[in-house]
Amino acid sequence: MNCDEIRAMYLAGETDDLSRAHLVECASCRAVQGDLEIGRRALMDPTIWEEPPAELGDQVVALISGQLTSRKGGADRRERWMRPLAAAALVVVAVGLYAALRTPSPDWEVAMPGTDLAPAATSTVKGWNTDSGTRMIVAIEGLAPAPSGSVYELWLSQGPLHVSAGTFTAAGEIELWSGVSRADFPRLWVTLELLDEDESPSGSTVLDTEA
Amino acid sequence: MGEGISPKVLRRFREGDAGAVRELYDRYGRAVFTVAYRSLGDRSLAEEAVQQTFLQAWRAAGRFDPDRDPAPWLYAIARRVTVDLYRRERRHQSADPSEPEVAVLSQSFEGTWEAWEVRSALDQVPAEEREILHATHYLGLTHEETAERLRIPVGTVKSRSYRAHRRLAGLLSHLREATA
Repeated sequence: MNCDEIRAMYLAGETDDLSRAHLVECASCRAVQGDLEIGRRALMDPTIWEEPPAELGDQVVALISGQLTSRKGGADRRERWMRPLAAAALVVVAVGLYAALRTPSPDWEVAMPGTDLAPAATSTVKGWNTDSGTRMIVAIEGLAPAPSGSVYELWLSQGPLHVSAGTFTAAGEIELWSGVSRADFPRLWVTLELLDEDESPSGSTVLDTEA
Repeated sequence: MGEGISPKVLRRFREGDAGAVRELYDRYGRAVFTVAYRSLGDRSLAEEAVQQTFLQAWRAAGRFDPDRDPAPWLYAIARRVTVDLYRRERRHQSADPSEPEVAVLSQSFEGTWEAWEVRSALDQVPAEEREILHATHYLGLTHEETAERLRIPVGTVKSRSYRAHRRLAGLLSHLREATA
């Protein structure tokens, strides 16, 4: 009898004198004896034999397909929603650039450190108060690119009131605009957002002036 | 352990390809269910755990290297999901809402990796051999009783039993190594 046959017998609980003698002599078989013993006991455990319902696989496939559709739909909806906004932003940027060229020094500057979710990240925000709104240059380092299907979003907040200043996907020097002033909305923070229908801030804050 | 899932399938799974989701479920769904059912002792909670496990795996798949064996990764997700469900149920059952978070898990959470490995190995044994293992180990039948129950010759029971045990012994031979 070879090792495979002895191990099969052991797992089946059908050892005889010959196989027992082999187990004593063979180091390789002794080394796996514990594994086979665990396996033998597990085969008597009713939970090992409990079968999931036949339809569970279909439910898993449907669940993920549904999430995918919702994610794509959400992205499409956001894209549609963002198109006119992007056009408007371009106009604001043009006006802002003109204003910025006239006033090159920022009106304010604030550090926005990384939170526990992004401890290596650092950033500063420079702001210009213009007639068209607040122009901000956010300089970010050490923040990983947003995962696929997600974006980073800058928020200005006054207590429970949050106003988005736009989205971006990676660290660098990013220009963003907001229709509110920092004097009224002093907190600046960045969240990681899934591209879905929910337009409120997620709980995933990565940068925060109050961190 | 045993037959895995090809990197190509894992890449398609990441994209949400229905065929790849089904393939991953067919390979590991029962093992996930076993871990959840063994820990939670409730079929409907176990089904919820399976759905959540695959959903979380899909969401995290972008960060998983498709060239690696997905079994330990899926098991870790399954266990975390199961622990979360266990704690959720304990909170719901608690009469006192101010009762602190359950820190200690029940004994049913012990040995879940071994249960995963054994179930996973069983899923790689052909159905006709698996029913012999079920009859002899779980139901405790002799070869003769198994032959009568399955209406097949005793010789067939013996040969299938030998093949099943040999196959299973090979699949389980590194169980503790994988645990470590």
